[in-house]
Amino acid sequence: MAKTMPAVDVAIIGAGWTGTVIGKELAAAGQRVVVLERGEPRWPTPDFQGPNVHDELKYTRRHELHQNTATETFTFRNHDGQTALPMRRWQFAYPGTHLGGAGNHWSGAYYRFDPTDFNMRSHYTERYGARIFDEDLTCQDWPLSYDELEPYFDRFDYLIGASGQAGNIKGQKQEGGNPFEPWRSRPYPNPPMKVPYAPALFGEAARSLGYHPYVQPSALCTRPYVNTEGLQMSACVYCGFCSNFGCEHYAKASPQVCVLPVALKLKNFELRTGAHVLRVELSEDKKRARGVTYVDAAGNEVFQPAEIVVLCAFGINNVRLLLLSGIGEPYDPQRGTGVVGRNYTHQTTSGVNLFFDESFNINPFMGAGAVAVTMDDFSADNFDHGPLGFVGGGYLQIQVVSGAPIGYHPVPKGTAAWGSAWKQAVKRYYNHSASITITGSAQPTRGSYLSLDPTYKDAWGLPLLRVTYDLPDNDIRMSAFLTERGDEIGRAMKGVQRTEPGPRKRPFTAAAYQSTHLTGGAAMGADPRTSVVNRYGQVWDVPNVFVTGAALFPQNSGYNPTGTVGATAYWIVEKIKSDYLKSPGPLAA
Amino acid sequence: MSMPPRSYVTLGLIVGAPLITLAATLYQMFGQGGDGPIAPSRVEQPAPPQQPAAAPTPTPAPAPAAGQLPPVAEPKPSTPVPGRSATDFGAYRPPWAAALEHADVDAGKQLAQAGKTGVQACVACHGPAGITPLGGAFPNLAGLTPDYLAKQLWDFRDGSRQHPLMSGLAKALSDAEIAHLARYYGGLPPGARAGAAENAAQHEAALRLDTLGDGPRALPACANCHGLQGRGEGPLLPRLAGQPATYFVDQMNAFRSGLRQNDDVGAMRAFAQRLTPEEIAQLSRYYETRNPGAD
Repeated sequence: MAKTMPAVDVAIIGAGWTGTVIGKELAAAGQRVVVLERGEPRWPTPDFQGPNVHDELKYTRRHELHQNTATETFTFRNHDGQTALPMRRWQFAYPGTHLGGAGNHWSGAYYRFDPTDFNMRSHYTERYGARIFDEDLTCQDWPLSYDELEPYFDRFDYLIGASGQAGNIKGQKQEGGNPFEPWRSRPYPNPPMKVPYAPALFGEAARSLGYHPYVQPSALCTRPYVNTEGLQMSACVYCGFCSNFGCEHYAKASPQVCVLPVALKLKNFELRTGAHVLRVELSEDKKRARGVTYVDAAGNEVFQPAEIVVLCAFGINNVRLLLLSGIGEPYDPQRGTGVVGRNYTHQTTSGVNLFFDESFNINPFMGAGAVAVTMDDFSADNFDHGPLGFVGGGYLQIQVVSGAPIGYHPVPKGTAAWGSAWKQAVKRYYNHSASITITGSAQPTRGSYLSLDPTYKDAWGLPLLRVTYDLPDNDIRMSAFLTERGDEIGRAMKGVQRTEPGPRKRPFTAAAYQSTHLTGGAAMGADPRTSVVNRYGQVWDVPNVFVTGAALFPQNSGYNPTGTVGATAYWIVEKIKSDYLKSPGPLAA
Repeated sequence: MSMPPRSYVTLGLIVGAPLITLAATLYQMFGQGGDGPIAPSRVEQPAPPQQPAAAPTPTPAPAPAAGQLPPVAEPKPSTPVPGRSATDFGAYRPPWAAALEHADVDAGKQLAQAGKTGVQACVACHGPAGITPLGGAFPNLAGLTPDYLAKQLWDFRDGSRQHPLMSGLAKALSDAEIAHLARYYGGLPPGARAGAAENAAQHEAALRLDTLGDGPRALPACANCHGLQGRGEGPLLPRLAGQPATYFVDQMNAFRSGLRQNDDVGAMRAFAQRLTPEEIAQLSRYYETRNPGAD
């Protein structure tokens, strides 16, 4: 018999970006809010202070801040004809655990989605004709536009102290910014990052080929900054310990730095760590959530009654919670019915490895999670897709993250894989190599989806989430095209002796790192037959449940998701405040 | 769920309250009042030499009475530091880098010991071996990195760092002379002070700031950048260990008031403003008594 806690107005599952932003806003609006975080409390002081946090083995190799695959993992397969197996070690996803979630251990690459990401189907159909889409693609329009979301992007920019230089303010092109940037209402709150050597070389070469390279926007603060919650941030020192780590400098934006200190001062905001949510409990008619059941740190089941439940876990874990709770109809790829789990996709990335002359010292340890020179000439619909025969695009860049010694030892193809020849090659190339990274959009197909695994269960006896995914032909063609462009730039770079382009190939493997941007499964839409939630993140079937995060994306952009995750969180919570709290029930479009 | 750092605040209040009283008393006894942006140290500044002597006798600065530190200035909010454009990613080379490549240690030694016309010998204030007497207001230079030393002289010259004596001196130095001096002092052993390396536990509040920072004020640990117990890190993050307490307080004052603006993107200005006068005093004592170490 589960213990029952005193009822609250709002139960939020997950203390990452969306959970803390929405929790703080609703608590400030007078709601009694409890945020349930499955992990432990982790703060910049004392947990992330140097030198202890600079531990590649603990944080990167052993996934200190990632979901514990010993108690809860995913099963993976490429298509329906295979049997999915549970994965103990994967690199395709880093769902966060502990306070701040993935918003704590992220790299800080900070983009907005392109306007054409929001009207994918209609935009490409209008410009190129419907035949540009392969038949297996299920990409569809969002139920809201970039213009509608812009004020919320802006709000998130100033919450996190984003760094960058505007390329387009209210339609006016800005000198020194990215000429392809969608319009924005204000400049970035902080200036762009400084640039390490390899990205600078990339930028020079890209410019010489007629492209438009620029310094990537980031959520790593570039000067002392007081954010919109009155909280202090400091300047990044380019220590290189961003991705997979907590930031000791209060420079990388995270819920701990940007939101929680203010939220925790509100007396009706409660953060409960060590609370692992099992499911959302529904009323008998399945039309209403009664609250959530979780397991506390002592292993006891607890029922938390709530008037509103907001799913703020890592993207695809929100989908699992929907499936485990019996919310919405599960997607069936054979019959083409149901919606929960539909339109799951990843991100189509590739790279070009570069090997330099020994007189070019790259110093790969001098970097940061999001310090890059990047270019959008082949992003979104910034180039003519007509003769190319695919939809989508991606950015090309060189980003220098850390050169961490356990994981980073690039050697050319054909080098011995072990022994003294390998060691000599590592010594020769460690300081004389870099990679062009290509991060591309990903289109969902009828056969790519999320479902509950029929066989394998987690530590609490609940079915694991099964991921069924492979790269569609469209994305393979896109990756080949983008990687060729990258190779051309690599060959034009000073000091480069050898390039090794690696376009993405089938089959997709969950064991390889290729960004950790898993999206979809609870798509936002205008039609309940092809979406799980309406334009305000509200579940069609259970109107007091809201879903946030990357699960809402009907397809994945070529850009990193956090900017759009943050903007949609503000968009959703503003609608809850302005309309839902006054008149609970289905929200009108 | 409460914030773990709250216990540090409680501890800070327990430790801080008597120290605040003590500091306030000292402030009333010796302070100049709260309006001035920066309190000059009371260390007498040596008069410029009449004649560039061949071998001047160093005149060490007198030591003030124990416990006597300059009062800490009121913080003034700094204006945001401008940044580079998103299309300016050309490689950056510091302006002193070329000069340092051709620097001559012997020329630096000669200049340090004898000065030149219009430039007083460095040894007069910074000690015969780049180490100042205990209790003085001038920094140790021995073993600071050549890049840091060159940058400071460059910055005194262009005004982003200011000092009644150093600003004028630096303006009389050429790029090459700055580089000679930087190489010379950078090569001297940092040495150990008398009384250095007393037990860090005696400086509990400062030790906490050094190693953990303070969460509620978003203050990172000093050690993140300034190295273990203030020994310095990399070419431009200066050693604090062994620097005179008065010098430390003067610099924090200069950061708080904005008189010193040569910190990268204003980082130190922001941190200095969030520290209390008591903490600045405690940190100054703590770092003064750290061992500069072998590096």
